[in-house]
Amino acid sequence: MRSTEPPHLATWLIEHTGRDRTSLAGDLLEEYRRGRSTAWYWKQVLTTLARDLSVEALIVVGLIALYRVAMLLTIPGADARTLAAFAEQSTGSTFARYDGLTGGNLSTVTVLALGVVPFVTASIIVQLSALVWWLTRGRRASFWKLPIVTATWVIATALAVMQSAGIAMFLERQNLASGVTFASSPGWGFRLSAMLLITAGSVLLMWIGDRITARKIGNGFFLVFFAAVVAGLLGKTALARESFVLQRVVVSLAIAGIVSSCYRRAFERRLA
Amino acid sequence: MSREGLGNFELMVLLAVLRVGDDAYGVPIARELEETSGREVLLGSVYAALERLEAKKLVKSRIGEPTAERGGRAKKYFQITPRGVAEARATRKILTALWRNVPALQRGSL
Repeated sequence: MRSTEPPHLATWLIEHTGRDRTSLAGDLLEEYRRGRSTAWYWKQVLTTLARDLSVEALIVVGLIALYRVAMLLTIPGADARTLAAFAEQSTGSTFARYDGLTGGNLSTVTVLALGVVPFVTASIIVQLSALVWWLTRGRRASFWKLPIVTATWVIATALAVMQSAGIAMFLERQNLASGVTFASSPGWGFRLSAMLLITAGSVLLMWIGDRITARKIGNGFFLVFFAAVVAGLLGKTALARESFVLQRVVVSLAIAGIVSSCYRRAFERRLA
Repeated sequence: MSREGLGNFELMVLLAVLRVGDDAYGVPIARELEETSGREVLLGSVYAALERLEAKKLVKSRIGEPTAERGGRAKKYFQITPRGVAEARATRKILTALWRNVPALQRGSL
């Protein structure tokens, strides 16, 4: 006689990848226990995953295209060619690694120069401080009811403003140091337009990620980040030479994706 | 009728929700579709259609109690909204009008 439990791997896949499929998993289990075959169970699980995955894959392709198009939009006043030459020399540096996380948009100083990096930093700051606050206040309020999302957005935007100012000043300083021109017209006009455009680009990416999550397609933030890394891989030969570092980045992103999707599902269960 | 209208499968799922009635969650809806169409139905597709119908506010859902036979997973019950009923009626009117007076669709013809 066959087991009353369907294949564990199939159940795990349907419950722990991508969107919330608790009700669907319950329905499949119910049908299986009423006599559906193991083959039927696998077919249901795999076809569902394939369809959801193809939607996510299309979004990633769209996002990669967005990063590649954004690479043409160098902010006014910055010299993209000098920068490209600088990026070519700095293979293996922190600069090159950071560049990879923005899909190659940092080295060309485009509107997406910061990518989702401010959002990553803000998430870490907010979640850690919320945890500390909650633990020290005797866990009176529900941890999940703290204004985590709002705080993350505010801090991420503030970080984007500060970091874009940092980029603008870095470009101006390079002028003085080596004689080559990164910023053709230094000054507050250049700094402010750089801050405005780069912050706007960063917020746009956060908004896209938020919309993807809101439409229950998958973890939007992860998809936006993942697409940046893939876009960076496709475009940067300088980075491609660093295959060992990249392997680590890709592996840790894959782990982060799985952890974050499980985390999101635990969060939804608590709310239910 | 709403601007985007109803897809073929969406209409089938909407009608199945109506036919099943109070007990409309994934399993009975899929069974109803299988029995009437004679084809195997993918539960994941049924849920995808239900999500789209819910986004169009043609059905609404509520989460039921977790049961042991489902390994502690709650059922998600679906119910048609007044807007959903109106949409189904409008679609039927259009389809019947298109069906009428077409010799090729008459019984006995090729």
